[in-house]
Amino acid sequence: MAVKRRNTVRVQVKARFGERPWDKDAALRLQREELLPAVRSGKGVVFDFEGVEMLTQSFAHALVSVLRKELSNEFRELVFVENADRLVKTVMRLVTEW
Amino acid sequence: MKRVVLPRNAAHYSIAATVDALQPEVTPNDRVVVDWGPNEWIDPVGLVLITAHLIHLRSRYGTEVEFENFDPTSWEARMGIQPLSGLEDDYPYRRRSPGDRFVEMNRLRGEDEYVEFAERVPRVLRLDGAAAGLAEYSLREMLTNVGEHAWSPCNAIVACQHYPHQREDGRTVYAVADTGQEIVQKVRRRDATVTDDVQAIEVAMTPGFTTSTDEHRNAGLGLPVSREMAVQSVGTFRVMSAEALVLHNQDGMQATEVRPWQGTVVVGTLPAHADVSAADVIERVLARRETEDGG
Repeated sequence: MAVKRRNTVRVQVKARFGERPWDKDAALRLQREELLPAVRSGKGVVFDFEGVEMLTQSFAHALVSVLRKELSNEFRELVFVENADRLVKTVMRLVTEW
Repeated sequence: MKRVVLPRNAAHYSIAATVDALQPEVTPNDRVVVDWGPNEWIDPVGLVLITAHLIHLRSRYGTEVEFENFDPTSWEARMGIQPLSGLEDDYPYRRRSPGDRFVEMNRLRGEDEYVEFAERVPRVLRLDGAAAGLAEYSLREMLTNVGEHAWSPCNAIVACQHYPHQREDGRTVYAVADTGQEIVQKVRRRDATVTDDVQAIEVAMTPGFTTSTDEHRNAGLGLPVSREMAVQSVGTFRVMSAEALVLHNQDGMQATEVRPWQGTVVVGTLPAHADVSAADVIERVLARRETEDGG
């Protein structure tokens, strides 16, 4: 189920969680309350990491784990990462490919 | 009264000896005197061990603690060991000098404090780009582990120091201690076939293993990735829990038996000028996984 980029929910990670995001409860809430209903209605999700300076796998896992389970094989077609530096990209790869 | 005589050069090269010295049999009415006399050098590892243990004694037995032969103007005092150990601060008017490359010992109580501490470490220790990333990432993960898994009465006790002249490049040492539920107990609760403490620590460092029951909060990658960051940057990674101390470095793994320790201690050494970044290490972890899956 490929999704056109305009039919997406955009998450500005820095604005929501700061330059060094850490609040896993808030990340899980975001997934359950906003992103899960969005993907269930056919939308995709874009995580925009502009300005994020440090990302650990602990937080990144809490940011995508619910979506990953829900979407299973469709995850890669519906969830996108933008404006990520190399560390953020590799951390997101770790939590989505492991 | 029970006397604790610390071993020389506690504790980086003698964690087991330091743990042994710190633990005379203590009963509820005992007073504990820590004798600092013979020490030439106590590193951050020694300081977090001493502090975590003294807090443990106070909270468990109400033990009174005294320091003997302690220099209130010493580096140990500047690291904050007196107030953190529940003692009066004899010399509270300390200042940082421009050459200082240590981060004072802290007792951190939550994720916002972990983030602030981990961000401050590379700046205060003046680490370069790759080494800064490795240190901040590893500290964040190790502190998060304490907050989420240990339920530690002393919270997380942490200290860091940079040694510019150790080996060619210099080394940064960080130590994180708690007095909560040991890793080995939590692993056993998850897998009753794991009876040996060393095996339990190794299981805890297996990528994808977690003692958490919430699959959305924990992926079981914090400890193994932090170990890889130390080992692949030619540093070391130690985990002490219950009666085992496990060391990982480029030569492999070594295990040492220690006196039973309440809680878990993680010690990492990282180079000041790393050839690999945090992103490099994670890419290698992923590449290894792909190779293993392919094989």
